[in-house]
Amino acid sequence: MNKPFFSFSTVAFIAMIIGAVVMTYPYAYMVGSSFKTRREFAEDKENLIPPRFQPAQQWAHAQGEPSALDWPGADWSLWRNYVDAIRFGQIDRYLANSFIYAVLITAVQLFFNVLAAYAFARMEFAGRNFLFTLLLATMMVPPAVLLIPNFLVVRELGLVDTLWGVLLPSFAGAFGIFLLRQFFLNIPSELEQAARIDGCGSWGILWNVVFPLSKPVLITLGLFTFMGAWNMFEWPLVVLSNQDYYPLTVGLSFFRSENGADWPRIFAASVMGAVPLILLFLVAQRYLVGGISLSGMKA
Amino acid sequence: MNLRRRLVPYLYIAPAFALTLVFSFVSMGISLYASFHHFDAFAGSSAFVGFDNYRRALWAPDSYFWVTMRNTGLYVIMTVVGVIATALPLALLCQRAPRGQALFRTLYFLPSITPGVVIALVFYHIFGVWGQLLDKAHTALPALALLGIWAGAGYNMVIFLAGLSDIPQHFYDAAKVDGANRWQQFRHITIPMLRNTLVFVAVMTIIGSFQVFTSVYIMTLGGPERSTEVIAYTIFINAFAVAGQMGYASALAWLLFAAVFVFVLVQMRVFRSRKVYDE
Amino acid sequence: MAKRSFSTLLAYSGAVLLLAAVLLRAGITRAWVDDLTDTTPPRSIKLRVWDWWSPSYNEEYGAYFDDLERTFEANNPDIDLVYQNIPFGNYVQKLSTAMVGRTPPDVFQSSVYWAEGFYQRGMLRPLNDLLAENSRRPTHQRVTSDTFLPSAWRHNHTPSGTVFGIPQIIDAQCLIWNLDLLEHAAQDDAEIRALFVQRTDETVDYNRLRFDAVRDWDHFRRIAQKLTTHHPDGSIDQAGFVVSAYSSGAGMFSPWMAANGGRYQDAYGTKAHFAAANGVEAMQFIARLYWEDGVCPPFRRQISDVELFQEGKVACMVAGTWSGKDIVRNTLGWDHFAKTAFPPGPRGQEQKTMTWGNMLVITQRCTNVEAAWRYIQFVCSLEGNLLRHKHLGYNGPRLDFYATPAWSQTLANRPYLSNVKEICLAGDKLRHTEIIATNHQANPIIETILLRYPDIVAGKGPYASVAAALAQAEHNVDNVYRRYNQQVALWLAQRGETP
Repeated sequence: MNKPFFSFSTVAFIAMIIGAVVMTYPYAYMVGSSFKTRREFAEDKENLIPPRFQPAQQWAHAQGEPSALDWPGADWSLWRNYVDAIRFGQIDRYLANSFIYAVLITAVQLFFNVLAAYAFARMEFAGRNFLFTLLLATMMVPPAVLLIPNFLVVRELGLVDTLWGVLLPSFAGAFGIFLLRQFFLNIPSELEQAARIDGCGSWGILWNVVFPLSKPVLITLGLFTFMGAWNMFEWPLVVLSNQDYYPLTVGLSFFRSENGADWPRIFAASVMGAVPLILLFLVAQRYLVGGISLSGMKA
Repeated sequence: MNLRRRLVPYLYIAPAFALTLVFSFVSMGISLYASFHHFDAFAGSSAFVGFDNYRRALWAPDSYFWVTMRNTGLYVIMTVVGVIATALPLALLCQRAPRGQALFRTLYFLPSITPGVVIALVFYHIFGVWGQLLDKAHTALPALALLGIWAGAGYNMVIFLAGLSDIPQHFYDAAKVDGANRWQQFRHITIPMLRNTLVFVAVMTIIGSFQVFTSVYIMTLGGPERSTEVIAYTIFINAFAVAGQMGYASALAWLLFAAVFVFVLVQMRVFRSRKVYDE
Repeated sequence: MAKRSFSTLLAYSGAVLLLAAVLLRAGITRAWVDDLTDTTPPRSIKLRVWDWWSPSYNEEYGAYFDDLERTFEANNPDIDLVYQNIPFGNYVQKLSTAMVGRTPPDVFQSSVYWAEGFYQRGMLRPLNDLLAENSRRPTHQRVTSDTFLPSAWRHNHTPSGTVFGIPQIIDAQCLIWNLDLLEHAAQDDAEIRALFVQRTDETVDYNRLRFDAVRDWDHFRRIAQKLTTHHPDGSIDQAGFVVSAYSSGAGMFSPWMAANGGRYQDAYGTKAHFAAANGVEAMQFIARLYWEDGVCPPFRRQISDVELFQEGKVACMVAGTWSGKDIVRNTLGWDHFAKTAFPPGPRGQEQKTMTWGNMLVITQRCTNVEAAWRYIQFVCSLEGNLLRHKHLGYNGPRLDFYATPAWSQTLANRPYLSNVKEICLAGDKLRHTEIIATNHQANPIIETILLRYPDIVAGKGPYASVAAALAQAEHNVDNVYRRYNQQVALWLAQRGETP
């Protein structure tokens, strides 16, 4: 049977393409602007291609007419802003800091969450349900309520403006416990009973049976935690004043000054800030996308 | 020996629980306590003022609390409606697209994995190019909501896709046999079976958009004419940029908590979770 | 089997290399790495200094800090200077948070906006005892009040004489004029030609404007109108003046008000005065320049005045005596502009502006006051002024600075600095009390006045008149002052001090 030309599938496909353009346009804008000189950006904010590379401008210049190639900086290379962002803006420092924070937070959170989730899923102890409900309740509290008191607590511990001051409150993650417990409950108990007969204690079961089976969920949770830690902004903004410790998000927000901002340079830094997570995402896509399906709409 | 066995579970939950205890429960207590005091964190002085901070927020003539709540409420409504109205059709379309589904999922997901600061910096200029949306009081907040929708559409599209894939195909086949067209199938099969997912997306988006901060901090600083001043931003300014107002800021934070609570309750009432009949 | 362990090995080595690269580049670990490779003996005193001038925006700041660090550390081998740059817009928030978090710097540059407030909160260490010792030094090393321009020494002490800061720079607001555009218009217009300096041989010096070039506000309006040209479709091509509505608040409005004999606040921060007749007139003058005379480009948030000016689209803008070096840097060398003060309004008598001297202060919790004072004395000495001048082109706040050959040389080489000293002498004391809170109250109202002026004048606006709007803002600001002064009285009583 003949499919009509404008079948629903085709319409869907075209609509998705249009949507994809809408989704990716800001990225193209960011990249294009990162190659412009300051004058070019001030004069022409719309065009994605820097004026000095546009054929029309080059032609006008060849004709001897005034063009974008007369503006200051027309001789700059394509990557000039990226180099400057590293040399003067220290963006490499901030990127590396973000990486360190994200790795540490992910590792610690996963470890603590696995322990706690296993206990809630498989162990009997007094007050188990009560404590678990308490943990769940903390997920409902908006971070805005916790911002000020966390700062005061960290202050009393003497950890303001330190690495631990940034990390400590970020080590708490009730969501991961909830997710992992859900997963652990679904592991057939025969496997664990078999291990117990073989003489394993709780730690042995955890390490030899549960952990290998949970790799997908752990990777997914780890990726989400990593991304959340990479993107954290308000807490390090408040706790840190030493720029050696700034993560990328805070460092980027401080690229401006009262006397104006070097926007192309800021965009170059932004591109460098967005790329790592995009790379990570491309590599680990199926875990992330699959993980969203897991994350509990069935609750 | 028995005692040791019984202590083991507590050891397992201890690290996570200790952290949560300190940085959630103790913090909440401190926040509540501070909200009843006039608290100067530098000098270390605090004076008990009862409900004065709350009174000042709710009734004082130069308090901008209600303006802030209005702004935040409008932002939340626009974002939630916008996200659902975008993500759900996108999910339906993505399912039907003949090829490239994986590529689309990747592209649409990009905004969720980009730091909010980066997104705000880019859109600061995109909104300028599109006619200075951030300059006028009646377009600035919708512009921010547009940003929130753009950033959240892809993530929620993937959630809807997962929810859609749970709907058994034979429902649709049966309906088609009965002569239902696409719209009727959508209304009578898709929507009811997606109810739980819809509630989930709505609640998560409400909670998230109530706390919008980064885009305001980077792009508008509450302007123009206070039209984008949202509650998280006011709390931040009062706590960390102005001296001696940490108690007031804490009170504002609890009022925010109350508002989120009410909003979520209303939302859940309206879309009451119902058990869906299995045939 | 061998292939699998090889690729595993490769993966692990890759991870190790990545980790090593990260640790080498990270700010957190860089100090360890530097310590490992550093051969010089460690210095015993670590002095933490904060500033808002950042190399990430302007490379000359980087050069200045490097030179300053080298010179100072060479003369003071026991001190290790550690700089922190924080943008101006985030400065007070970060400083307050650091104070509250008990991790403040030892020395920091404080804007006059915040210094008095910090002192009243007990965050700054009084300097009178250190000044007494310093007064015995030779002039070029002294930092007592007699060595500075009067307008630099206004914001750094209490009415009773307690000094809490030493001026590091002198800043003034000024009008900056694009001399390319003025020179072009001067070819046909004698009135514009008369703005320029006339040499003794009666030729016109097109690189310098007279300090008193603009006589009064009507004269300013005429000039601005003459310098405004339009496209065929009626939109503005070249604007005579630019008015900024977003987030500028009192910054743009105060100097005009001063030129009209008015003031934002009283000397002690108890009462706002900007809704008086001279303030209302100044606000109306600015609004009319935009809405009635049509000499300004449309209001836009994303484009700053400076950017428009640098593109040559605006003949005159409000900026500061510090703006010259930024403009030269941003345009990669263009310096054909000039600075003047603000012409007197109907109720004013003379060319006026607002001046202030941002200062270096020592925090109360500083553990090494002696080292901090050594640093401050150096930076605020004549040598420190000259160092800053060399890299950044700043004019110093010291009297002896203007007698140096370096300054005379600069006047000859950088004509855009020619009026700067007179401008700095012609200034009133900039407002300085509870800036963030008063801006929070008043700036949205000023924004509304500028954005909705036609509606307000027609009676359809949110306020009955400009005077009513300013009165409302003044009332709100007075509330801020009242709450603030109550708090100050408490703080001072706790410390047993008098205001």
